[in-house]
Amino acid sequence: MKKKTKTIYSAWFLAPAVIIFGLLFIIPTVISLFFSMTVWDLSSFRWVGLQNFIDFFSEYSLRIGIKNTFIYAAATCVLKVVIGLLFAVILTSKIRTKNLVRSIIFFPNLISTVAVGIIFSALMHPSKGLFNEVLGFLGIGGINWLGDRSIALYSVIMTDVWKGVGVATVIYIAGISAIPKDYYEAASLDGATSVKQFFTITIPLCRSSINSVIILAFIGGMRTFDLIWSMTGGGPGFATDTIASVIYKQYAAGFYGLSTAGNVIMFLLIAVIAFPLFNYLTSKEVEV
Amino acid sequence: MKKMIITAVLTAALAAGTLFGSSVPAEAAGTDYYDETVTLSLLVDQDWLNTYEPALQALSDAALEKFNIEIELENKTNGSDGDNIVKTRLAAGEMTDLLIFNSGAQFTALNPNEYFVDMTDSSFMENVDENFKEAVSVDGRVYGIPVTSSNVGGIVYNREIYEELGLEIPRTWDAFMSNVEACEAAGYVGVLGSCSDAWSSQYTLLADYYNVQAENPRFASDFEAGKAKFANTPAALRSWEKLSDLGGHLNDDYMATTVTDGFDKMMEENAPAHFPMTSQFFSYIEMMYSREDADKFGIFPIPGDQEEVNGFTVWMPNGLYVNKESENAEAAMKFVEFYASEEGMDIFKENAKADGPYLIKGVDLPEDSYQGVLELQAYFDEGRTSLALEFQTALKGASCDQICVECISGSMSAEEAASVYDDDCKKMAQQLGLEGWE
Repeated sequence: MKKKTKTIYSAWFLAPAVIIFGLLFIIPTVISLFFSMTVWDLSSFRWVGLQNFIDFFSEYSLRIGIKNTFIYAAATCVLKVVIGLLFAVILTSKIRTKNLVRSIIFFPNLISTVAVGIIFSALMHPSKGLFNEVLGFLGIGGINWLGDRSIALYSVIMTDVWKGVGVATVIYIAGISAIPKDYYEAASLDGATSVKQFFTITIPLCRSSINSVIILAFIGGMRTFDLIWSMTGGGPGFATDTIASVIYKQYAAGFYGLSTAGNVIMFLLIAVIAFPLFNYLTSKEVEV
Repeated sequence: MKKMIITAVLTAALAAGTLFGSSVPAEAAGTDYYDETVTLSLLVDQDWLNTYEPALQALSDAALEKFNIEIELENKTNGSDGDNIVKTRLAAGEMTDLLIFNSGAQFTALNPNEYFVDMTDSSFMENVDENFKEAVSVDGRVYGIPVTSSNVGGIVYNREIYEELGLEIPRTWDAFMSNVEACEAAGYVGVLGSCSDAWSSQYTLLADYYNVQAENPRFASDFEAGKAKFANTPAALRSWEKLSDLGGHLNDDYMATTVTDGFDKMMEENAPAHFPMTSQFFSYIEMMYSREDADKFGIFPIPGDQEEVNGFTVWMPNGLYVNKESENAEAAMKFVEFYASEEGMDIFKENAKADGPYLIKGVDLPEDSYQGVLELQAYFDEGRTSLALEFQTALKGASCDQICVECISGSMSAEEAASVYDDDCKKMAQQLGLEGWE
């Protein structure tokens, strides 16, 4: 057999990836940019320029929506990062039943989000829900979890953390297991306490896992829709609307152009925040 | 548990319907009879089916007998998610042969001339009520027939509580509010709120339209033309104020109460005395409880500010539409014609109760209708009714239900809610391309 001299692959090898990426991502993106400047009923359209963007920003519920989206993204992100890390440290230590507990923590993630939403809205029902029955049994007055506009958003955030913390934990476990044991041995020989080891070895060396969790949780939080929609529908009133639920409601009302404009705005907003955040975080990573 | 009972009741009713259906004589079958069974798919929402499945089933059994047409039901969810399914299926060309869907603004928003068979010149249309035709027309072309009776919006009240406390049906809003307070003083919840289903919070506002129209007969057309707004028309602003007045008189868990929960609450001890709803309330109560229970309730119009002005706002029922692209459009039209015929309506009436007068000529309100519904006839006879705003103009703000919840919960004042709603309507008007809204 003749020995191959050419070591560089033909550019055609890129073709499948480029075609798929182009068909499924680039073309729809360009088309949606176009339709975001029209009044569109799926079969015919009328050009309106930037009017949709102006309308979208003048939407009453959007002010609440943007604020809620940031609260939601920040709160779920922080909670998942902290609680996930805690679980991971516990679950990589030498405790028994660790595999069972790992599975239990990961299980909520296997359930469909909408199902979780429906289950939790039943649990949080003010007069018939399990949460308030338990509180009542303990002699504490019931909380209107989803009906009180000042706490409804936080009830959804807690549910999201319950569901999502398993993924964070698994990523952390992978990161922590990859840290060579030598560092810990050396540190304990030098007399470092386990708290000190945690802050000087575990955290710096699983930085890349922390970064993945932050990015995933933050982007997930910014885009959040399914849980909000199945638990509160953006209500009471507009109290738990997020950018995504505002967009969905416009889509549901038949304002296709307007909701496409909303999606373009959300895409830009997430990109503007996520890329610098990603660059900043990865610049802090160190080699293990 | 309740669900199971309902299912059992429905199943029993279904079985009864089937028996009835098969008793329709087969000799009616003539040239209209298809040699091979034609199966028509029909998309309808589950809430509607909960009440009318027996009637629809009986009609479809009769159609099988008479024309060899079989109806296959597909159900969808209610509310804006359900509207989405319809819009998406229409746009994707995957609509069923037949569709049961709202009439009025929601129907006209579907672009009917593009998707549905024009029934304007069909002979059976002569018997359909003009108001209903108006509600399913675009540019003078008519696209559907009424599937049930009309219904009215108002305030459902508990007759037993009214008797016990010696209250009278209020003719003014102030009298109504003092009735509410009297009920609360006696330990009842004044008004039932079911804001978990946000759409149900709109009835106080929408059913007050009789009073708006009484004061501003041209409101609907001025509103569509962008000349009249809720915020600057005193009578229309009054509707929002009434909604806002209800806050503080509701059940504690009104934010988490769904409409179905609400029906249950109305039957509990110390039940709420009032529930802003439509006259469809009675058939829901019969379905979930019993006929006697349904007759414990009555309905009165949203009171105005003068005793002399007192009437109901009328809702048009859902329509039955035929998909233009359907391969079986001809058979589907045959089913529609049968539905709207006297024979079809007789079958319907045997299997379903009326929520108000029927909209097909020659079809009277049966004498065994609910007490609350029979009492409506007087209002219709005296002409003390007006069509709800959403049947007079295609313009209805998309966030109306959420704004109503904001207003009822007190987080928006009536003035604020009215002006936010005006902005919401402006957006809809621009999307619809209406004149005068730039």
